[in-house]
Amino acid sequence: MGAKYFGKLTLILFLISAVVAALLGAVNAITESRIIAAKREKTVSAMKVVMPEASSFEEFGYKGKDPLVAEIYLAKGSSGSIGYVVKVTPTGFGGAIDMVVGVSSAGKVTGVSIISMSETPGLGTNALKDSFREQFVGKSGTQAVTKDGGKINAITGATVTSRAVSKGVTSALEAVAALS
Amino acid sequence: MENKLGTVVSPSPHLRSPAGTRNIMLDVIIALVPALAASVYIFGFRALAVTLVSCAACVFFEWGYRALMKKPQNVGDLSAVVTGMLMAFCLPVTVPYWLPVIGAFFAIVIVKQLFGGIGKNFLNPALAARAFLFSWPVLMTKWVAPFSYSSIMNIFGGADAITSATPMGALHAGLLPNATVAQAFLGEIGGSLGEVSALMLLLGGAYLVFHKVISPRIPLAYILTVAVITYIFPKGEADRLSWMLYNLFCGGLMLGAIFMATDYTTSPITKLGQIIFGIGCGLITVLIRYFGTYPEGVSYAILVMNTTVWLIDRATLPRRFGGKPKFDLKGGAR
Amino acid sequence: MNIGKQFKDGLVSQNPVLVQLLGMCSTMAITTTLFNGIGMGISVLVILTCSNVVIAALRKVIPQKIRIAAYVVVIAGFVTMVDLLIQAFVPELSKSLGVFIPLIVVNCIILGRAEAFASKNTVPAAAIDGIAQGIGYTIVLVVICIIRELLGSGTFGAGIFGVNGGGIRIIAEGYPALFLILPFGGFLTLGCLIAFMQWTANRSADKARKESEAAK
Repeated sequence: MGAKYFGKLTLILFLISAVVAALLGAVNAITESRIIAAKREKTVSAMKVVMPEASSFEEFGYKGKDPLVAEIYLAKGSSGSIGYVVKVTPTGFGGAIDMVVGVSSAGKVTGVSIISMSETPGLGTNALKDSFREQFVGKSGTQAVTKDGGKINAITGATVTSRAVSKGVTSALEAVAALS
Repeated sequence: MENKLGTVVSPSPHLRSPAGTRNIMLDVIIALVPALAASVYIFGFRALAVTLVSCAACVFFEWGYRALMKKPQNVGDLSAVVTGMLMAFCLPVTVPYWLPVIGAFFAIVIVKQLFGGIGKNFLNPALAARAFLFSWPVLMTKWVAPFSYSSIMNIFGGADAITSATPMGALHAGLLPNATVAQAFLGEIGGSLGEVSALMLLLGGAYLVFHKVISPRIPLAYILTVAVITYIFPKGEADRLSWMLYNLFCGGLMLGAIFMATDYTTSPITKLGQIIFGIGCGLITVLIRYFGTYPEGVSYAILVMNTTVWLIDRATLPRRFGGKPKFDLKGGAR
Repeated sequence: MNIGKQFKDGLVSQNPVLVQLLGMCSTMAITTTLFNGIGMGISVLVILTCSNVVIAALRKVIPQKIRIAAYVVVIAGFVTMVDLLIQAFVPELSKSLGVFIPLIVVNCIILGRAEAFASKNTVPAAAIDGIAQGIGYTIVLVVICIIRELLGSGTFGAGIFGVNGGGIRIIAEGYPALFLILPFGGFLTLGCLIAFMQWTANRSADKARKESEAAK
């Protein structure tokens, strides 16, 4: 059990790791571009949903202090900028809700789309339904559910989720208002 | 075994009490009747109909499971009826009639019989069923205001009644409910079918204590804990006393403390253990009411404490004379 | 090498989920739609077979002292490859299974079979074992998925059939028992399946005993 033995152990483990690493590198080379493309397509398609007239999106640095706002994109149509798309992450019943909010140059909501959430299936996940999300279209200012004195009809049995989405929309509107 | 003198020779115990399971359960049913009567007065005969469906379903599943598994029948001990009544008592009066039937299946077959039947379950069947029935959260939170029925005899139209905010919803938001303390005490408030009338539940509790069916230790420890914490830490801008009183009389506290936390099978047997159990229930109830996402925490508080009963019993077991003084978890019952 | 016995072990008598109780974490977490169940099952099947083959091939090269480290490197390599491939070619599956694909690295079925079977048997036997155990795992996952999806969401095959992959609705909305989709429902369903499995096993054992007694 001398240095030679340990040298052998090290060598074998090194060889196995090296072969695995090489294979992983090969697989990564094949898949990398596709994965990046798939991810970009997902974000862009979500942004297209909330701002259908836009043809391209440009990243726009967010310098505000609202922790709910993750990113802001400048939406460009055929004749220059037509508004912003804000990515916000309010906290719902089961953790963060990733959603994008489209805001027109006039400061009104053009659409709300949820990218991912871990809300209770059958209750909170009803926030994905058009009937709930479309309530926000055309709104500006602070958004709240009717229970809190606002105008948004909460999803039955999922007040917490409804509140979180309203809060996200409010943050997005404020972030855009602070830009101009 | 009779000898020549006609006297009976039998092994101990020689002191006999007429308290069999059946008599105890009958007493509990009698104690629940005032609350049921109040519920019928407040919500109409639909309350009675839901309770009857629930009891019938519980009895049917109790009988059916034991018949199917070829086990001795004990459906005559009335424990299934008590489970049925208690489960119905924590449902809103508007539930469709199939809901208590599914609840009865879960309570009797899954929670009670699969673990060996009466005396062997580790969770209160009625409360476990209520937790399970939250699979239908929309149906389980359709509350109606008191006296909002179109006719007291209407037992089919209940589901269309206007939904209303419950006192628990108000308390959860840090506000006082829209009812006087007296109304809350008598039961003229929204809430589950059998939980609304604190007065009638207390009457039933007094009957049980008087008949020595339950000891007042668990209910007192439970209710006092809630009272003390809510008095010391009122929420919102409410004044202490009324905040405490609403917290005691609204929601399922009285029903849970008197009838559910005292279930023999799922509560500790030692005196000290019962007090610890009651305080634990009270603490968890207030914590859920204050910080949880649900407005009411009685059922979950009791279910959580149900799972600690073995531990409490073991920790509070009286020391046998001459036995080892120190508590040893691994040693178990000494 | 007894292929029939190996398959019987994997599917029934040594079923990884119902008898060996391995890989419980993923079994509970992802079995909410048929799509998830099939995706997870096939991923494990592929990874298990590949890692079994490689480990059986290297069984005489890998010294005892570092065998666990070597197995983990091999398994992690295959898992990462499968993860990357799924992300690239089936992004919907990667979205709905999320972190549970990378977590196959610590799925006890893979390491368990590597240690208990592949490291002591020839390459073909290890390959058959991987396939048999993988199919056993997949079948149980699919059964749990079907039960939970049907009773919990009221649909069949969400993500595969129906409009927008919504599945075929069997129970009207508002009636399914939401709890079966929650983790609690996973425990309940799995518990019932294990009980059923034990019951059938005991019954056939009883029957066999009675027959052999009658024969005497």
